[in-house]
Amino acid sequence: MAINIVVVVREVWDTRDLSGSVLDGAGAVRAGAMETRFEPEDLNALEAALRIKDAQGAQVTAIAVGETRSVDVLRECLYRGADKVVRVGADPAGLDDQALAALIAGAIAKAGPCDLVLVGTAVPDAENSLLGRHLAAALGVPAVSWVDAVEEVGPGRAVAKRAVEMGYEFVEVPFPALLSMGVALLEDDPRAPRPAKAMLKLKMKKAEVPVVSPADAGAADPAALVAMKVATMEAIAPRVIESQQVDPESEAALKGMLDAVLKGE
Amino acid sequence: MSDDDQVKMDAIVVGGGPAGLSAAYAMAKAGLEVMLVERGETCGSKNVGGLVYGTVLNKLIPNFFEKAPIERPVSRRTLVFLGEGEHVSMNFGADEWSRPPFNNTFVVHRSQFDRWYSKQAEAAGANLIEGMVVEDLVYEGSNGGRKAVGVKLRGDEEFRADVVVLADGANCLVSEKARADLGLKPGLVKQEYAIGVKEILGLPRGTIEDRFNLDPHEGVAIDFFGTPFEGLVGGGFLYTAKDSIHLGFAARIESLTHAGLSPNEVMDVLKAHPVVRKYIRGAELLEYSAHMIPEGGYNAVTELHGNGVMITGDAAGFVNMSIYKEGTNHAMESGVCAAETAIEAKKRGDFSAQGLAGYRDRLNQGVVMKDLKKYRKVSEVLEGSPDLLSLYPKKVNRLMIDLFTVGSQTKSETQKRAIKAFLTGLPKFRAIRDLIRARHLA
Repeated sequence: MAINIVVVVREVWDTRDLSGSVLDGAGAVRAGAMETRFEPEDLNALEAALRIKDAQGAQVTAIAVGETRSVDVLRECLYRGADKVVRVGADPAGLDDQALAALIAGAIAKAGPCDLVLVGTAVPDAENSLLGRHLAAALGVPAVSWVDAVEEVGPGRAVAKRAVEMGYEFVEVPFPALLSMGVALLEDDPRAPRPAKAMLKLKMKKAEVPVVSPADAGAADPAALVAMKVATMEAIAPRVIESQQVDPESEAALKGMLDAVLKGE
Repeated sequence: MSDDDQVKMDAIVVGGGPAGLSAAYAMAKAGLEVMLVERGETCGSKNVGGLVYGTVLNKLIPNFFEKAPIERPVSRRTLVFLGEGEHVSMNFGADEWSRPPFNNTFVVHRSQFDRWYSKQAEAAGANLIEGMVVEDLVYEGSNGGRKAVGVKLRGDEEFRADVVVLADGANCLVSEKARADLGLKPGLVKQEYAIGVKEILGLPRGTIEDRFNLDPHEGVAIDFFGTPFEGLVGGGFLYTAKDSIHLGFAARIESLTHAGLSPNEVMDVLKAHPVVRKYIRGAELLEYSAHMIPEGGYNAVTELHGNGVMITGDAAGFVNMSIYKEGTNHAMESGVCAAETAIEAKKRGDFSAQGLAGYRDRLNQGVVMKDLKKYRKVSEVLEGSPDLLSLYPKKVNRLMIDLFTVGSQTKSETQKRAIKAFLTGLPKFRAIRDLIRARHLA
């Protein structure tokens, strides 16, 4: 019997190629100054799920919290071959991973039976890797983190491959289980994660995306679940290296340069 | 691909710029089943900013400027001749250019504008497939009977259609291949390209309006000629957007190679010129882009229709490189001509080269080909008379400065000297010839 896989996907700040200041005077991110992207490790998690679907059949459901800013990650999942998507109708701004996990766990429970939950390990704009752990706790299922690949699936169990010092570790977990996917898949296979299919874009562009309200997900007031918040952010000024021309004929100038170097100026 | 996955469209448009979007919009409006494939993540994402001319768009979407993301209309134009340190400029504008329809010229962020236009095409019923690359056309038949029946996308997906409208831009790999595969007649000369480089420089809105003497809903477009482009076939430009300035230049690639200059070097010289430097003082570099521009003009235009195919916009070489430098409206007009031809071909059920010949006729009767024809000698003149863009502007600058430099001589002495300096080093016969030829530019 085909298994049910849930993939948690997020739209995150694109922290590549930043130019200018992305923080405002109060140390908060200036929304207009940044683009967003499909969290790359979540895309990996989706790829892992779709590979299981390709190999042995699976029902793949993608879940995201909140409205799209510019990249509609749920639709992107449909364009790549996900069978179902669910949007949790809550604003993720100001929610910590614990509150997000409660919302997602509720949405997963509502979506029906689930054997495997896949989620990207880290998030490039925060790198706290907490969502998978809180989600496993909220669901009450075993979790494996930093998974490179899903080696075997079923019946009733999955084997996850993880990199350890000097080799690999193969971890077996019974269903239902949660796996946090790392970056290895992206690095090992230039074709992964798969791009969108034009035919699926054509068909799914206007597909309806069902929305689960926080109340239906069992967390009517997700803000009340928040335990942690980012108080402020501080930018590190990029290092500017200024080159100076020193007249090579002038002994005084050379000596001055040496003194400056030795004093670490 | 299973059978129920087969999709056949009436038309597939390759490329979501002004030409492709106009074609898709007009065909979808007429009830054709249209699919538009754009390689950028969204339409316009491969573009930065610039001028959009609205004559054609205003017919498709009346008063589009009330809804579209326009930065500023161009209410004033300035031509500036830059010397080493001197400059002479001509400034002209009209109050009516500050009111709808604003002389049909607008500064836009193309990423926003094209995206808006793509939403209009989508609302009209076109299927937009973004982030997808068309690698080639799909053909049936052989030799003279060979006809395009669809497109092949990267990732081996195929889509079928009665007609393919190619709008793949200046760097038109798909159109080039289609020309070869369908044996379309080449142009009289090979297509020539300029490289356009543009920086988006952020400045506060108020600063822009004060610095350029603008009301909040006005804008200026400045063309630069002269010293920074010495030895190049090209010139610079500056447009005011809402909170940014678009500064850049375009120059024939060959002339850059010949002069041994990189686009960055030219850009640095332009930005360092006293006139330009003061315009952009304190601005923050937000974006940088480079783009190819087909500049061959009329003589480089190839046969543009074949069995199941029409070529539009930059891919067709529809850029007016005279002093007017218009491209977006030509692109849109060619898109509309292709759309009208496709609609007519569908009624008759004939998508052969003969059935699509109306495209050529529409182009010939429209503004595009007539304007291109009028300026067919621009390329030749600019290459044959390089002094037009460097020596003469310099001479005019010098003359004005010499005439108005306040000194202790008498005025008649000043004027005599100025005119003498002006004539020194001016090759008289060639200058007369060059000036006569310069009429081809205006």
